[in-house]
Amino acid sequence: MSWTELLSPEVLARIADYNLLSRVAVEGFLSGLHRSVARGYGGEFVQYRGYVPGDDLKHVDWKLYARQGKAYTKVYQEETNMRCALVLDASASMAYRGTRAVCSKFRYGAMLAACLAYLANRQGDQVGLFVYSDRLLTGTGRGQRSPRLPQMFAELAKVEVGKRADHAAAMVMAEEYVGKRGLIVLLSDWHDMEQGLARLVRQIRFGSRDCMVCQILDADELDLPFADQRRFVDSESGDEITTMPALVRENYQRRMERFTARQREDCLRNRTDYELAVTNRNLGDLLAAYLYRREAML
Amino acid sequence: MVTFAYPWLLWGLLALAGPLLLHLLNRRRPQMLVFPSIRFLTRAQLPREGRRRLRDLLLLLLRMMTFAAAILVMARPSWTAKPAASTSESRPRAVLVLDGSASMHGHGAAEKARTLALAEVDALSGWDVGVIVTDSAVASSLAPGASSAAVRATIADYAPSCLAGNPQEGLRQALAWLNASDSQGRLVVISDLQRGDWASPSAMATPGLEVAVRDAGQEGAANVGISSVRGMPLPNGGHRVLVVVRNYSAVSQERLLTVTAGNRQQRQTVTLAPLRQQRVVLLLAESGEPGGEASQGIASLERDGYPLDDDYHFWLGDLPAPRALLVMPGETDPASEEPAFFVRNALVAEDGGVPGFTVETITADLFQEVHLAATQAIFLLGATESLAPADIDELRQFVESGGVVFATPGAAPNQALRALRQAGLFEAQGQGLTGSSRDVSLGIGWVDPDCPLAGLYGNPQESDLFMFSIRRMLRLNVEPSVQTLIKTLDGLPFLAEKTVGTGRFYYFSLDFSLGWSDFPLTTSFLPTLRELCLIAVPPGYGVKRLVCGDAPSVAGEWFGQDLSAAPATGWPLPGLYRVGTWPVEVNVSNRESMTDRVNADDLRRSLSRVDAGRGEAASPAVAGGIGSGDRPWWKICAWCFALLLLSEATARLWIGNRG
Repeated sequence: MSWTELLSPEVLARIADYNLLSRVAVEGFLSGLHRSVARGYGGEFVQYRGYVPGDDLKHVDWKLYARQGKAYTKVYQEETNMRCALVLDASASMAYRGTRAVCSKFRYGAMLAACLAYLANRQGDQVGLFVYSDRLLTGTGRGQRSPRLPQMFAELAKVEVGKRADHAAAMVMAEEYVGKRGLIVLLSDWHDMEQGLARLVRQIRFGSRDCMVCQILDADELDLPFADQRRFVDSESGDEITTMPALVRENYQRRMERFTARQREDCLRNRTDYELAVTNRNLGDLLAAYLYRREAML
Repeated sequence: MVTFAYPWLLWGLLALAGPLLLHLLNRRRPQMLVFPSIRFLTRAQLPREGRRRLRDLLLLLLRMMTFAAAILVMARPSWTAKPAASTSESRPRAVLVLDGSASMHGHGAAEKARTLALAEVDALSGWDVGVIVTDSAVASSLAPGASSAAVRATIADYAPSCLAGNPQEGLRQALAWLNASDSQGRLVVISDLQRGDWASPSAMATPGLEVAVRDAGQEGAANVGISSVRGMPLPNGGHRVLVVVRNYSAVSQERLLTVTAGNRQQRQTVTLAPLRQQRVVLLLAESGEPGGEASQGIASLERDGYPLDDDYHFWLGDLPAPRALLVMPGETDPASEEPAFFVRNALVAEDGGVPGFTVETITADLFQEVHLAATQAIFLLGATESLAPADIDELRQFVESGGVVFATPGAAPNQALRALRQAGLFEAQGQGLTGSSRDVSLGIGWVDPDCPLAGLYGNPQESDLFMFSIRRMLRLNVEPSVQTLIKTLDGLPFLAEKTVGTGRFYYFSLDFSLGWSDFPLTTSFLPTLRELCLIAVPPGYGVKRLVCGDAPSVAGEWFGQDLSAAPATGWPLPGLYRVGTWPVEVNVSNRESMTDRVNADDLRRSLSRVDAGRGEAASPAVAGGIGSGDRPWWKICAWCFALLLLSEATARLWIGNRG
């Protein structure tokens, strides 16, 4: 995967008008688009508080003082930059590419990560990329400088998909990278996390970090469209099952629907964005719709 | 008994094992698919599997049956009723079909055929042998069962005719004889295998009947023949003779050509390229005694292997003139004499090789008594209004059958036009006479470029064709069904035409007398009348050219000639004959001159092949013939094939939809 393959001009044009904003106040050193935990004298008014000696007199609301005879100081929200960690699953299940999809699930996730990295980078945020399967394949350590985008994409291109997924190890690294406040974007199919995703999200959110979960699935996984009898081999465990898709399709779809619904509920319950990304859907449309919704909710 | 035209194709049934093997191999081998997660999938070993296997078997059966039906269609099966067991007293039958067409005259084919036939008779001792000699039909025949001496006598009497060959009738007769008996049958065809006769023989033999073809011809025989001869009179009384000679062989030939007519004779050596024809023109001097033998020409080539086409008989004498009828209003009207005079003089003149007309003049009251079948053109010189309604009806029938009628205005033109309109001959209205008060020069101003006269009036610079005085003329208002061929300078219709049936009706808007115009005196008068009259006189009028055996009644138009004296089946020998006033040239068909031959084995196979369509067509003519016991099954197989194909497609679609 090259730079141009990851960042399609069409997709970038589609999301050019949006920003990747954090829903929580973040810690940062540079001024940016995000609310800072530090209250001070930024651009956005937050509240009044009683004047205490030492406050800058220029923030005293003199009109209010004239009406009430008591001095109040205006408190503003500081705006700062944030740290954003993009965590991409590269386990064997992500290698699947269905008949209707334009690319594999991993590549779709990689393009998604690249677009988000580009957005964050454009608005001055620090971006870290963490790719993992049964171990961390590539990532930015705590205290390291955030890599430049070309370097990040080069790392992404080297990744080989395979083996089982160990989500917890990568999460630790991502949490360390963003610190107590920041944004963690999780990109995976979450096949083996039917029970554990809630706990994982809760852990991320516990530190007042913002989190976004994107479940990447192929259309074949959702509707099982095969007509003839097939011998299905599990991509990660290697287990096999021979069945007639037409006969089990209804049951499969019901269970799959229940699975995605549960993932969504777990995320929403923990105030985490959930987005189902189906690989035959246009990436630009998906991102634009999500970012629009996210900006609207802030 | 089921028989197959192509039994070796039945080996193709072995290919039925193909779909069966495919079915067995593909039946239980599901395709593998690496899937992200199978934890939501369950096994599907359901009772429907049994039903599916049944559906698969149905599909397999349909496919195999479709395949088998296709092979059967190609193998052409047919059902032949099994012949009853031969009785001890019935003897096997054989029929010799001897080709007696004109081509057997060449290259010793007749003698060889006789020898071959006798050898067959010797070989068929103990058989009932019949003989059929065919030319254009069955020339002579001897049914099986006759004594050996009678058979040998018939063969000894065998002599080919001068007719073009058509063996179909002889073959039908032979098969009728062979099929009349349940005993073993043998058909022996003895011929020179000339392609002209055997190009498309009907396949009528039944399976089980033995067919043999004996070749009496000669491979690579050379032949040069005369294809046609035309004699044309010259102004000096002599004749110009055009001879077309054709070389039918693949090597160059040189022959001496002699044309003789009475005591006149011309010779010329002709060199012919392979497979080419050449035109040779010979000039014969004036005959001292016209008529008689001087009129009967014969073109001869040096004799070669096939002598019948080395002579060609042709007519050099005068040809009977076409007949024109001038109808005048009445004897008491002296004014009508002048137009008749001009028209008669114009028609009797010979013009560029076209013979003059024989002109007969009658009055309108005698119209019913004239035999119109022998007439090509009728001129109603102001006499239309004098004709009775029955005469007009007869006139219409004359035009419909191809005749040409010319009419000019008479004393009551409007009455005449009304009668013509009612008869459907001509639709126009007269609007009175014009130009009667003064001598006005009008002349012809426009000629329809698509009419036969366009060539005559093609050059506008020839003013003598166009300019003449018209002192009086009928102002015509023609309807769209009528075509104006010539208009005056004033744009008035001068000559109008209506096509009725296969003939034409012409109406001149002026009378052919000098009181009306100078038109009869101009140089355009004669060619105008002649050109229009020739529409009713086709090329070759006056002489018939036939081949031996052509029935005269069906050989084209005879223009009222009495055919009762002519033989009903045509003239069997070449020569010059006469029917009524017409000479008839009879020569041997050029088809018999060809040296191309069919292959004996191909012909045998073609005769042996069971062809349902032709066999059935032949059967009604032959009582108890081959058609009655021969049932083609391949059509049924073809229908089955189509039905099975449709069923298979439907089943596949249905199973696909059911998953």
